[in-house]
Amino acid sequence: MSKKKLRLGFEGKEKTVDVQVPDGTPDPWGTDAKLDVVGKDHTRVDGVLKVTGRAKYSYDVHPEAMIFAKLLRSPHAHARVVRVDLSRAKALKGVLYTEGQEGTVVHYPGQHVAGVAAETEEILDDALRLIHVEYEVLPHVVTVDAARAEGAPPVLERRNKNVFRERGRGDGDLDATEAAHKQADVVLERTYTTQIQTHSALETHGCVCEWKDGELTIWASTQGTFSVRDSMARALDVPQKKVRTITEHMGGGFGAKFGIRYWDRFCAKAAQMTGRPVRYLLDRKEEHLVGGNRPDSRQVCKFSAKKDGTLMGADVRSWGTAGTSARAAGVFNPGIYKFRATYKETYNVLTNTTEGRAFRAPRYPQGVFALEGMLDEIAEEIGMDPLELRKKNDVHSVRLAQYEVGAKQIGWERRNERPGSGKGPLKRGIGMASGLWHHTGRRGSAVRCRVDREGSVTLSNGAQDIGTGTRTILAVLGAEELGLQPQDITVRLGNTDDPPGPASGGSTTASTLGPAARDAAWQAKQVIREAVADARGGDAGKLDFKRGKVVGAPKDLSFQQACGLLGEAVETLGRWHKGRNYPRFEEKVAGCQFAEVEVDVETGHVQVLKIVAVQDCGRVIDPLLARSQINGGVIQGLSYALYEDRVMDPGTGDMLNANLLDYKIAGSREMPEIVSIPFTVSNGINSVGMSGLGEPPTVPTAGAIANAVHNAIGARVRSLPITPDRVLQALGVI
Amino acid sequence: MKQFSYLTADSFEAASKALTDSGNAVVKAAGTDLLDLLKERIVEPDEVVNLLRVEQASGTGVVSALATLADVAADTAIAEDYPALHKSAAVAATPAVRNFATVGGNLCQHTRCWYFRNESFPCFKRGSAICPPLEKGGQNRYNAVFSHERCASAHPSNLAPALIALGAKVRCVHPEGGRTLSVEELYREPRNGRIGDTVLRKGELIRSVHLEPSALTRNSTYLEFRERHSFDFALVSVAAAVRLEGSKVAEARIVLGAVAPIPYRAKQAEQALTGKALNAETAQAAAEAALAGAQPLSQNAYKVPIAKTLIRRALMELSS
Repeated sequence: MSKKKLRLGFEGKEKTVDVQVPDGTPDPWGTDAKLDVVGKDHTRVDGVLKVTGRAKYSYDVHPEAMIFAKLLRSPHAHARVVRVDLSRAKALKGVLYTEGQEGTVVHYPGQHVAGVAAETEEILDDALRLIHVEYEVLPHVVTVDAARAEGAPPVLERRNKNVFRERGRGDGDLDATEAAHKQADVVLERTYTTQIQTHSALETHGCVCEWKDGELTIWASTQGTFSVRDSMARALDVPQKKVRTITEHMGGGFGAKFGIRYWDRFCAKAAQMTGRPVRYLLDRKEEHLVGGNRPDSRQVCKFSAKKDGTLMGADVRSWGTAGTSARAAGVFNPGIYKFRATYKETYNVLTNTTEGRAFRAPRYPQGVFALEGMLDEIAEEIGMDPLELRKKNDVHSVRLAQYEVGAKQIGWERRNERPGSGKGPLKRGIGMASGLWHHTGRRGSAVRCRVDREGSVTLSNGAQDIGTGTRTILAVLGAEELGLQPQDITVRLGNTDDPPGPASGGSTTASTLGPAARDAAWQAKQVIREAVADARGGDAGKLDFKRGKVVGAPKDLSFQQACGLLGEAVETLGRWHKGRNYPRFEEKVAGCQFAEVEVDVETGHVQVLKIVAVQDCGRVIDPLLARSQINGGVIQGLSYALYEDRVMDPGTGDMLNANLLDYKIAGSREMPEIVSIPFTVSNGINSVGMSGLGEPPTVPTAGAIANAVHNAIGARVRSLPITPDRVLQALGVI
Repeated sequence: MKQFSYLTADSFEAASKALTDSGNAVVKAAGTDLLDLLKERIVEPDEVVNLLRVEQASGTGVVSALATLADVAADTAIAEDYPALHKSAAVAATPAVRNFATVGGNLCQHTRCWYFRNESFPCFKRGSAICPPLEKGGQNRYNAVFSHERCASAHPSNLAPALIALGAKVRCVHPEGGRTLSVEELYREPRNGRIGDTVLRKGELIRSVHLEPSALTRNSTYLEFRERHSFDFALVSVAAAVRLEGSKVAEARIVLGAVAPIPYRAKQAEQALTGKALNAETAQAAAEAALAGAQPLSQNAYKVPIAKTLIRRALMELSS
């Protein structure tokens, strides 16, 4: 251990702390770190591969003699599978493997009842239609309201009710909250609702499986290569060392692609039974039906405040459905702001729909939409500027600074002092909302750094880059330590034969692997330093690696010349070190977004004109990449705010819009000008000071847009998505 | 999709004959609508007859049924003489679809009703006794607000309202003899077990669309409202054509799309306008008259004010 000073914070708000740096690890970077590569714009190291179509996704893998698998899915939301007749399918030429699930009960539409593997996709399609399934249809409920109704049929036979209270540490105190309401000047009670959003990744779920000599290779579209390997090994009862996952490139994952699902298992099984490589990537309809979704919510909010803007009580009762799973349908509300007292009751409601899955900041966008709507409603009620109300009740030093940046960028003073007061049918408005996320990064991963005698550098880890740019971030950090440029570093990701890495959930991948990559490159640098000092003299500790050169020896060397002095290639293993001695600057990651919209009050059409997103993610490694990531969060948040909505048919219990025409996702013409501002904060969480950025930028978007719509039209839409129908209803036109 | 044989016809006559003689053959132009129906098994033909290689009709005031929407949108003579047609083609779908989808296909396309398009749901057009959007709990946000006694599908064509407002005709081919129909006559109310919306007989094909320029057609326009500008079908569309004599309306034709199972001609609105000056007040009165008979379903009342807005805006565009 050595004692060091570390400067934390951001421009205008810094502090110095004493830290203990473990031996054999690099000194943490503070605000005063002099960095050549980190913090500058770099294009993605795999950008050219992607735009030229050379990047290999699981869809692009076609081992020789590959065949196709698919599951037959129930059109019924709830039914007993009485009989599955596979005989006609089996008799079809080209069908190689079948299975049936006779005797089971399906609990949601799209649940599998049989499966086939066949030579071609066309034969597969015909074979599935030749399977005769006899169902005994049971009563179903596909919406929260129907499931909560008196006399509703139970969704699961083994449970006699559909509504389950979820208790948590943050549930608060009802008596204190009611007391706070009593001392308040205004008490508002409002109901907000949000819809179900399907993950709809461009690359659907699934994999290609190939067995060779008793070993299984899975090319998977996954957020967790290691969890796929481990869960498949468990499911098939084979040792983990016999299973390998490869995910070189990934076509999108938002929280529903961890471990294996039944179709992956079926794919591996069919490959085992037929001795042929098998591909099963879901079609778009299956993806909507069973891929995953963000649970919906009904949030009954009772908030109170003093006339001076002091927030008093917040009482939130929420109901939501994660389908056949009685968990995880809660909301992040209240939160962010300081209340005197809070209380919440969370109810998870079972429905005969596919299971909800973690979805980019689970619980947050839906909770923040209601929370920020309530804040705006209170501001209006007490006649206070909504931003002033937030500043008064926010204690996060980073967000307080971000408010100024965002307000200036959007031109907050341009907003309608009186909502809806714009002239003519096209009315503009400005609104904002805040966000919050956790600092991330975990132990248990390792990055290997290999430097050979020609000076080639490879960083490798078995985890996946799900499109967020992890590969580029590792290259930037490796380049910084070794005095090189990102394109000088080869980064190999997505093969479980390489060292262990995290699953991409909770915005942890870059912030786990980044510091480990720095650690590995730093260790390699120490070895090179020793070799140079041994051969050329000078003090190893004083050798500096800058712009492709090693300086400080009697004569400067190029990086390649320095590596030529190595006896053999150097291999190091870097780790993520928990910064126990590095106090965090703030406990959570802050963000806020400002939206400007134009609403046609005669048609209800909402066009978002501009979004300003100010986002903290600790130290920004590559601002270009960070802006791209923030843009993505804003785009998905906008799409959630205005368009996306899973529609179930209550009569049949089946999904009506399981395609990309009727399930509406925002496209290019729905896009506003997006001003993404990565707000860099030197944070002591790890030696790099970086944190995750996958989830935080999608948290405030819907809330900001909804508040801007209110500022434009003077009426509040308390349900997502904000459709023309709902705008016209809020305006009292219908 | 079910496997089928594929025949590329070398003439409209040959295509029509093949379709007439076959049991359940279907015709394909660009296939933008057909491919979806095949994939969903809404149609399961044994034979598909490809029209894309036949010789196209041409001439003044003649639009080939196989012209693409992009062709129509790029035609400056059409833009000059028939602004409603120009606009309806220019805003349809997406640039990619417009570059391929044809005029004939646009007129004959099938409804986007999500019950119709998924074989696991009942549908009146596909032979069921019920139309789910009309039932309790039916999800009908995008369905019809007019003429939905037995089927609540909304007609999706962009071009049809424009062509009806312009008084266009279609020339049809059939082995038993060709005929000419007005575009308005082309459509009929939905029938049980029949998925199409036109009066075309088995094997009958539209060869061309015929237009005649006039003061009415030159003073025409088309507006559509959709949720998502990038790619969507219209929630409501309006085509209007007005012939002014002095300051008075001598003739008006107003046609709505996506509000009824077939294009909906708003005759009450046309009557309300005829003989009047065209101004904000009369435009509003015409819009009110057009929607007076609307019977919105449980979830689509919003279509009514949107339709009124579009009619008023379209008429005001034609007032000067």
